[in-house]
Amino acid sequence: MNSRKLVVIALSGLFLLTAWSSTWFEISAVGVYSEGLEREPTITTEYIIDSNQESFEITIENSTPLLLYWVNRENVSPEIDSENNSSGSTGDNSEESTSDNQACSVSCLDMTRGFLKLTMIAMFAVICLSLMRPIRSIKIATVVTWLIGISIILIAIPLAIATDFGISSGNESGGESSTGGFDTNTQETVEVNQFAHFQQDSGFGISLDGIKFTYDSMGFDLGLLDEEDRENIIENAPVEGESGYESLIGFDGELTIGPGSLITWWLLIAPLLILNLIEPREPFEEE
Amino acid sequence: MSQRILSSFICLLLLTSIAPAAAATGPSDSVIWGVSYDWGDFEGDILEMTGVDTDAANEDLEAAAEYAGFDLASDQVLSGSSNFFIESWDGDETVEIQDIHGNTHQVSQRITELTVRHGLLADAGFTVSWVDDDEAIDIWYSASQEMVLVIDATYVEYVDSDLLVYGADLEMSGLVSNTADLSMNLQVIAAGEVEAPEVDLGYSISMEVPSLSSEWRVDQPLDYLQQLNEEPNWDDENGSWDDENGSSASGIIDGTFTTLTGYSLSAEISGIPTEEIGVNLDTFNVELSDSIPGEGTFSDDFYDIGGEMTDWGWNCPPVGGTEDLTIDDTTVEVQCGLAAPVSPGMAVMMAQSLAPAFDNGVQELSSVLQGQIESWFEEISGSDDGNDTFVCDNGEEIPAYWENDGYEDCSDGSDENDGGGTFTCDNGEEIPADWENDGEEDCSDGSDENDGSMEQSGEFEKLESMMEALMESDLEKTMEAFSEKLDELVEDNVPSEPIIDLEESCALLFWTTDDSRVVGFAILNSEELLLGSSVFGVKTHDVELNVQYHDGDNARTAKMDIVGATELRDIAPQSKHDNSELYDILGFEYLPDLDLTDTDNDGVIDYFDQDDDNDGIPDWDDPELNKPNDSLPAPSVLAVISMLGAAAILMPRRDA
Repeated sequence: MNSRKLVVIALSGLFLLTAWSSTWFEISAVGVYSEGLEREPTITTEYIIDSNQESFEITIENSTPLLLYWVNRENVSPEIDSENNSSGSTGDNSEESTSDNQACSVSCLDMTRGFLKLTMIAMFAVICLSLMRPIRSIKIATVVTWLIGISIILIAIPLAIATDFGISSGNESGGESSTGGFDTNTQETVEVNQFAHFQQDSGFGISLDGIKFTYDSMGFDLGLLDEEDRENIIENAPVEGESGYESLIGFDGELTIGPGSLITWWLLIAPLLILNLIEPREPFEEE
Repeated sequence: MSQRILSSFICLLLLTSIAPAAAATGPSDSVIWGVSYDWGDFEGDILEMTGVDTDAANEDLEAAAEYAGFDLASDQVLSGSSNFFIESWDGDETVEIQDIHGNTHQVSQRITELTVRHGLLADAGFTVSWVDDDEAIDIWYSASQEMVLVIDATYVEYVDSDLLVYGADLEMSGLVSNTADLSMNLQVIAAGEVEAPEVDLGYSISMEVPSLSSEWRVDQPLDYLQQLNEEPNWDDENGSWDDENGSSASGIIDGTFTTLTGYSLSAEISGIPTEEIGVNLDTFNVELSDSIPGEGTFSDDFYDIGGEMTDWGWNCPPVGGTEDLTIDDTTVEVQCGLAAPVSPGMAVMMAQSLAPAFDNGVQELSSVLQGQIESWFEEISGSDDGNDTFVCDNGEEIPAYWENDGYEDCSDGSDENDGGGTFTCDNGEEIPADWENDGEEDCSDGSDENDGSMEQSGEFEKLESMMEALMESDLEKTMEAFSEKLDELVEDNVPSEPIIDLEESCALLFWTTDDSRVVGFAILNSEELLLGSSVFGVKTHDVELNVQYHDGDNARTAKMDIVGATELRDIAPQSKHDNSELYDILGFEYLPDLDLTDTDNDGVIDYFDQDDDNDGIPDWDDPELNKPNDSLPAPSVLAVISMLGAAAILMPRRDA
């Protein structure tokens, strides 16, 4: 085996090991209560997944007005909910966001971890094999394995996380909570059906960091109003200075979902494969 | 011409920047006294006062652990300083002020400055390692705390020639903060299983009053200074001094303030079996923080409590009555007794001014706490207000929490029928719905108790088996041996009688009767002077504490040394906080971001080296190492004079 092959094997091993121990997937979100609360409380969350653990970090800056908001508001009764639905809010089935988690026997993410682990081992094996026996079928196998790996990184891992979270497709548009689910893990999420004249705007784009979702919402939180005032607000949205306007809550969020540095290391394997593929045919036993 | 204006502006700016330092010093003939303490001496002072050696106590702990068969290492470090100074003097000018009725009075000024600087760093930690045949427990614990208190108050009291008080002005700023962190890592190996939870908790709370100004004007002049001037008559009938007139409203105090209240709470938890409680996370980190700015005004009746703050009859034998103090080698005749260390008007003004500022600062926080506590109570009581009622089918009303409590409280029993549905077991059997998760398996397949609770989970079984394995190990015997040995060792470190009997202590203040000004204080123990002014003819106590009492020029110098320190790191320098031994015990995790720079290459990194540049000057006193890092150096008086000179030279040339 020549030194070039040894270098390819060593580099492949190094890249795979580094990929395995690096960050696999990151979801970071920043949400700002832009209306209704003093000093614009800001929630920053970061959810990181790697080969053996999931960590979640939540930071709330200027937290006092937000805590006061959560403490002071009360859940709106179902009767108001149903009337509220007619006034423009969306959806009344808050249970949808906690849909069943039965797609995998235990944890979809753990299952995906297992797949990726196997794929990485297979990748290393086929790279070694293709260097030792550079026949067409093995070379195709290396490409296929690499493609499987990148599919797992880009598709299977996010899907597994989404399934474990119980997020149904299209939930990113914020159909359930007033914050678009950006602060779901705070347990204090206020549902959309508790708002009157609720408006939301969402969008997404692709950046170098991954897929970026934006979500802006605004509405009058009925839970901040006295029970007898809710009907009035549902029928007529107050303007600034009028009674009830103080219940206007605005939330602007930005959520970035993207693979961690795992993808970088996996992509670095590609040049090694290309080098291997374009190698001129040479005798198997060179030395 | 514009150059001239620009130069003048720069010079004025530089002069303004040194103004606060200049204002912080009283005249050389001011009355000044204070106390300072270096908390690095605390363990030594505890040994002096009680005979308890904390180092020996640590050694006892380790020795007892070794005897019992496990490793234990612990240490604690305390450093920082506490300082307070009271300085007072008479103003040169006579001014006119109006009382609340608009009457004008010619008065002179009595100025009092209160300076407080307190900074404290405390660290403690221990490691424990116990190993049996198959079982092991490792504990790593670290805790730290930082406290700071800074107060600057200037009080100007307006008095006439008879020492009657017509009002006062108060300017003050202050900061109080407390930060604490706690980390604990635990690893338990038992029954072939491993549990290794890690917990990091931290909090910080601070309240700053960047500015507070208040003004007090009297309804009628007050004589509380005169009460320090003339001995009141003792009223045998009432058993009190004639002048004790209690508190009463006297005038109006109003003012403005700004506040900045901040807090942060953080928790990082990992290694806890969260999956069993429905959370699929290995590490959870949450942090809340806020910085709440506030401002306000206040106006209130001024409560004169001057009559309650003076006691001529208080003695601490052998000190009492009239005594001679030695201040700056001069003998001063003073009256002994109890009095406010500052003017009673200042004490009341500070209290009445700080109260609304404090209220404003914590208002939002207390609302959150109150709301949260109420909601917890609601959760516990299971109802919104505790007065909710349940209406029975026959119209009777019972408290809501009696519904479905297992007893029929409605005469028709309808309060127990709400949960009357059925639960279908996994095998198809049906049982009453309220039998589900009641702690007993009612379905033959046990599916009625499978709600994922800890009790039924694999994790619970794992913990249970680990606990059983630990109980069967030598752990209990080890702890008994440790306890017995520790009792035996500690006995040697506790003296049979205290060195200082605190019950034999008393304190009193000294004031001059000619100008009604407190000039010092003393604490005596067993008729000997423990701390305070040097009283003629009174013996100094045998126990020498490291608390420094200052008066006269000593106090002036000590105040100048500390008055510029307003940050924790200036009051309690990190370089003085020798936590190297704790680092040896706790290792890298204790200080994960430790800077390993070793400036003088002596093998001790700067962080632990108390003389980084090896010049013989401790780091906390070394001006070379305490240069400000700001890009703009603070201007000295010399720099300003140079700047003025340069400007003077420059301006004519430009105009020429």
